[in-house]
Amino acid sequence: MSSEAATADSVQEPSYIDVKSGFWSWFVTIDHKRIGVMYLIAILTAFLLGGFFALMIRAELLLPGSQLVTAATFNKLFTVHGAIMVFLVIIPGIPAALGNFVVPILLGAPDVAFPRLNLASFYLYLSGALLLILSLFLGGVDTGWTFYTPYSTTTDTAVVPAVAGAFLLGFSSIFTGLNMVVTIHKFKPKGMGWFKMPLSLWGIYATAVIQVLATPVLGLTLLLLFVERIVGIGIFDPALGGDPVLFQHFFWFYSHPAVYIMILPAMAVMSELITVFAKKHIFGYSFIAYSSIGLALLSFLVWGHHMFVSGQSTLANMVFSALTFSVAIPSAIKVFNWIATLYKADIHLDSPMIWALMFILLFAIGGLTGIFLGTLNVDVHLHDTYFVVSHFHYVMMGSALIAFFGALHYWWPKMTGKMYAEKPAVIMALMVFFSFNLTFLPQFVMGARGMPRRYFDYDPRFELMHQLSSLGAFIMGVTLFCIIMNLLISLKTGKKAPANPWGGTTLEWQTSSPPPLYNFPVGQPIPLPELYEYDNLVKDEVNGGWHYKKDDAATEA
Amino acid sequence: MFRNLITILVFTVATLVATSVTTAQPGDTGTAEAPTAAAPTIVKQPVVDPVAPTGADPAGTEAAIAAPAAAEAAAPAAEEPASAKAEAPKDAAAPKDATAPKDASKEGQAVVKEDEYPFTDLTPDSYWMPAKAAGNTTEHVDWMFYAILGLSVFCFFAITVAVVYLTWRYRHRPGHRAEPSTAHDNVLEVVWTVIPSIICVFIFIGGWKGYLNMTTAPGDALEIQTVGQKWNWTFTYSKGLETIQRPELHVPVNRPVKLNMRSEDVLHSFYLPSMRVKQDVIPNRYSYIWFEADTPGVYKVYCAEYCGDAHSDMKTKVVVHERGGYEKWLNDEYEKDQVDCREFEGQERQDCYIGQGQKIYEAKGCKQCHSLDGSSGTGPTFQGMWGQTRNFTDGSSGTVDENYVRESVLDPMAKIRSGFSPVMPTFKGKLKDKDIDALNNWMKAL
Repeated sequence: MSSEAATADSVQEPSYIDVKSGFWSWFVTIDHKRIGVMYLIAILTAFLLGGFFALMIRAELLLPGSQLVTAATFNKLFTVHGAIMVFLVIIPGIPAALGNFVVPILLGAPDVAFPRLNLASFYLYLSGALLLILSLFLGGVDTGWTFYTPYSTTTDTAVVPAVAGAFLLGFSSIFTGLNMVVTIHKFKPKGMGWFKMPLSLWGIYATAVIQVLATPVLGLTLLLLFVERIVGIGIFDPALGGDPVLFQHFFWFYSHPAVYIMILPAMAVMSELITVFAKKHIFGYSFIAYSSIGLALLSFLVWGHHMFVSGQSTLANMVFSALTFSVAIPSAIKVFNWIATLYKADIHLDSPMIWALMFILLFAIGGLTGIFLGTLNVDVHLHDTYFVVSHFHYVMMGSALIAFFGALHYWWPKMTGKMYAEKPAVIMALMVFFSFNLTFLPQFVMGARGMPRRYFDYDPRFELMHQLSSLGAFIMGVTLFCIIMNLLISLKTGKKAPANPWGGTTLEWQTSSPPPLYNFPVGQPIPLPELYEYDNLVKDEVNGGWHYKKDDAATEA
Repeated sequence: MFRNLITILVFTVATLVATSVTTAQPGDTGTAEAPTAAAPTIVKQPVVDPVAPTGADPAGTEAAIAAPAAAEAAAPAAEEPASAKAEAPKDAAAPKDATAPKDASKEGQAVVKEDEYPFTDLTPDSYWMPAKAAGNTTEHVDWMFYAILGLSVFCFFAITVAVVYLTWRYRHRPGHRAEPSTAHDNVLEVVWTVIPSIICVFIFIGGWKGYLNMTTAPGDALEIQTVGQKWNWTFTYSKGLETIQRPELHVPVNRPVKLNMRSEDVLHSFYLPSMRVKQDVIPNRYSYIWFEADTPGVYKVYCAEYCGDAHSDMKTKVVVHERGGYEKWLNDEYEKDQVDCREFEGQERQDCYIGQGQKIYEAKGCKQCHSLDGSSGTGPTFQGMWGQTRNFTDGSSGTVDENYVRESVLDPMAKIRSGFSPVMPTFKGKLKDKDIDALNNWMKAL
């Protein structure tokens, strides 16, 4: 498809944004793109809120002793920071917000398989989010986002609404996952077999499988906790003959796979970005695809590594440690494949690519520090210290959230039809990289030296490292806020986005920006370019954007 | 644009350097003689802190009043007196006793008390790891830690160099196009799958071996009953059939020590950084930890599992006594308890002396069926029972330990000794956890 054809199409059909307007046209929409955008707005709002709580925590920890808040408030702050960032931001970030928007377009389909379920999933998400926020006004929750028993069954804070909120969020996640599995299975266009799918679809598919299989366990666990608190059935509470460690097994049986709900789509989208901006076929497509599925399956078998010092048996610890190392392999393969893709490539350092390269480095640190924690004897020392805090921030924020922002910058022109200011985007991305490392590198040192996590007060010898960490967090907070502002400003002042601003070969770039209501012009055949083949793409230096050389048009369909 | 990537690298290196420079040990310059020189053999100083002193702070003035010479040593001591570790702990560390007056709200019931055992582990002896005090665990943990650290730094460096170099080398510039190259290479991909797998196997084995050592306590270990509750620790020391309880852990040097631990309320975690050991403390079962301290001194104990408002104040100290010091301490403390008991009269005075275990044995009716002289009654004798392997009627077998006794008391039908009938009633609700602790302590001595 040539750029003229794309322009002509967009003239013929209004975009999904223009097709209707008014509150109700969004509120009851079943268009996956509008639902994706609504998710995005909700997620970014939650992100700013969770980030604000993180900065409160870092401000409190500037000095030992009480600075801003009391110990009780501090405990509520880290609980709500964790719960918001995990349940409201990172888990739905790529699959529900961006995935919702792009998955049907990547398949050349007009919508997801179950559009109404999709809307229901969004409203479940909103209700869950509101319940979590409500728990703040009912005095907050101080259990930590993990809700460990028997603390969570005995504390007098607002555990019930928070748990109910997380329960609803779980179902929202299941609905989205179900939708994605069916959509990807049933809506692949003619000519796109499993191994001709873009890698982001593989990632979202693997994620959706975990969402459908693991999240019900979270639902059951939270339901049991809920019933335990309300009527005291005594399944977790030792005072009633229950077993508090059982909760940890249930909880991590979901929450470890949940880490892969966060990281798999991130890896997939980064694979996509790297090949597009390197203008070269991804190296080892099938290894990357298989490693997504491999990680999804292995993720179910390693929950016990969260419990090496919980009193679980020595044998169980040994088995879980061995299985944990097996997870390292597919992750390493992906990193090597990304690096190999850069070889002999033509690398365009646009802002999404900056995020993608940052992702490789930060994910490497997150992954390598995971080796320390998977090693049994070293973990005994490092467990529940700042080393762990830093490790999972490298994975969940440094990797999953950085990927989310990279993907957001990548698809923003497609979603909104506007180009954001590129230079500030690049500079701020680099500032995030700098401040992120400033925040979390000192935490590795603190943790190894024996600074336990979730501490309101600390030994003065850790003061300097806490201050470096806080300084980094403040810079990062301001920068991330500016990044979101930069994107929002583009809605008003941004240049009109071309159909294919980055030179992608996947289907979403073969339709107009923003796409029409049914994603592609109705009644016309959908062109299916050869995946990750960039030879015939040329950049239009005048208007921006890429298009296929005219004389090759025949080979595209 | 590739300059941006160089900037990334510079930022990373700068961050690493900044953290290492600023947190490096300034003590190497000029404070070396401070602790010993400034410290008269003060062993008792008033400190303000209900739990434990948290270390030197230039702002803390209490110690300066109590021991003027300590004042000048206090500030540098906060960072790093590298020499302190090697000194005789009690004396050398005295000046570091200055406690930062912390937030008043958290110190509601702060009292001035005598601090006999100021900390000696204020400063780590390396950049990454806290001071070492127990060879049996620190050696292999530190070795594995540094091995993985070296490997990680190497891998990260290699990845960074590869990413930065390739990005620079193949950056887009006018006229540059991607060169044709293969999109997959099975040999290469198998190689980079197999090599990390082999490395992982070695790391796993190293970690596992160390862990087995960490979890297998020698049979002759000194056993100390440990209870965690919001928000302090209680240690019960056995002296013959009797016990004393203290909020601080005292252990002898060069002798394996095993802590049998349980929680009174929520989860806690007993964390001793200088010995590199940690274990969750759980309300409905005993967990244990063991270590063999090899450096006398006073070290920190933290709670590492979140347990509520005063989680970060739930700390205490472990005093590693010199040779013979532990026995002397135990005798002294025992005598103190004896003295305290003289205030009581009659039965109360008896309670004060006699081990709780024996009392429960007599009062709750255990002695109707279980003898102490080796003869079998309705139930097996308690004599010489501890630590033995017993066969059960269902064909299984098990060791008589804390969890076995606890189960037998609360759920007697769970395991029936071969040759005996399932007739014991449950003591659920009749015996509390602390009673079972007492029974365990007492049975061990039989």
